Amino acid sequence: MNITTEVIVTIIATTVVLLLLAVFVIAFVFYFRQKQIQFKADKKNMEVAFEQELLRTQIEVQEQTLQHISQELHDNIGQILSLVKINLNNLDIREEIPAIQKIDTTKTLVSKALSDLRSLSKTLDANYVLRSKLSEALRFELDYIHQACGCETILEVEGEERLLPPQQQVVLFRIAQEVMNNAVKHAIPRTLRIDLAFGPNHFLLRISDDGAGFDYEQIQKEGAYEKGAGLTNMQNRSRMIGAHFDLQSQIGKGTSVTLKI
Amino acid sequence: MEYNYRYPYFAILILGIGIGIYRHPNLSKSTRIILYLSVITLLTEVIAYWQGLSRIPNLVIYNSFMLIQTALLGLAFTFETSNRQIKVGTLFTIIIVSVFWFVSIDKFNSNGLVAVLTFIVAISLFYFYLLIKTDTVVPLRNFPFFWFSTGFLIFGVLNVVGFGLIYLLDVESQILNSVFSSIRIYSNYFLYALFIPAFLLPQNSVKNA
Repeated sequence: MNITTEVIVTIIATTVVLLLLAVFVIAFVFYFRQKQIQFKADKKNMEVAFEQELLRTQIEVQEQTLQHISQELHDNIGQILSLVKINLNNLDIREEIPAIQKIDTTKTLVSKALSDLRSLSKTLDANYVLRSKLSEALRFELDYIHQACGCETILEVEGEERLLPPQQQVVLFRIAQEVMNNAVKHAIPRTLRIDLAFGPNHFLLRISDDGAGFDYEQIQKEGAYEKGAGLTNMQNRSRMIGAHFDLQSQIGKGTSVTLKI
Repeated sequence: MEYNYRYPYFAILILGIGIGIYRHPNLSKSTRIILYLSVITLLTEVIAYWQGLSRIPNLVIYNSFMLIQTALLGLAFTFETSNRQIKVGTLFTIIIVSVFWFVSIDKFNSNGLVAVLTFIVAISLFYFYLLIKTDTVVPLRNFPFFWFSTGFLIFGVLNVVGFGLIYLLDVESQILNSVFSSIRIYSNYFLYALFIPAFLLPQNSVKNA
């Protein structure tokens, strides 16, 4: 090759390399931006899905609360007020001593109805779960279950309780509520126990019962629709708030659900 | 005063170093290493220039610089990416460059330089690969190593190609030598000019993006 050819070859080769490098960098920037736009859209969708799931959880908590209230009004306060009405109907003011006794009984019954109404009014506020400490909300739920099914209920809190972020609290409460309802409905336990543990960098919620238990592996294998869907829902919600969900169950020995953050 | 291609080179380096020193508290650990590399580069060039003027052979300083450059670049990219392969690649390149240097100790280590340039191209491409794999909302410009990698990639590829052509064409011509020299000089300007935005902009890394 003569010198002129060599110079031309060099210039062409350098230009081609430079162009390729420029194309590479521009293509990289373009691809990165496209990927970033996609990532932002995915993130936004996930946030929307999170908000929707959270809303659904809150609505479920509210529905459950209304169900409690309706049952409480019917089974407890309604009964007391019926007794009050019967007492007042049978009241004969001409017979002084029995009338005073009946009025005293009626007063006691009205006081009981008032006290029950006051505690019920707390739950009428749909956001009570968000405002109270998790242990308080769970204590209230356990008391209700105790009254409804008669089983023994225990709540243990380890460490210094701190307020959890509202989203976490409502989801944790709803999962606990669902686990307890399932236990009462299907396992018929003698004891229902909730353990809460607050550490500096960790949190644990365990709901355990000594009821009938079930074959968890079998349910997973068979994909039993109702139970499977409920469990999957709980697992998804746990994941949504960054909690690790663990379920242990043995036939005849009970079930334990643990959530760790 | 007669124009020398080193003057703009020194000016770009001094500007970059000045900005780097001013922004030092805000720079990430890995960017600081690149800043130290810039300081060493400037010192090397100044000493080599002075040695050239004094007619003292400056091969030793350039040959030593290759090793320092490889070590610092490897360290910076390792800190930036926490990648073990870069560490291994750095050690491997240092061994190769040292071997080439000791084989012909009294000459310019051109084989070593090709090894360093190949290493530079490899780690730059690897960084681009890591960057594209990262899911982030951080703008690309806020990754200082995007600027460094772009500069090193263009500098590395152009010089590897330049060296390849020198071997291929067996160049004796004055004009061709001056073309290759221009490629080297302008790619150097470009590389060190990209250090300026890298030092100025927010510091994000693929590790915590």
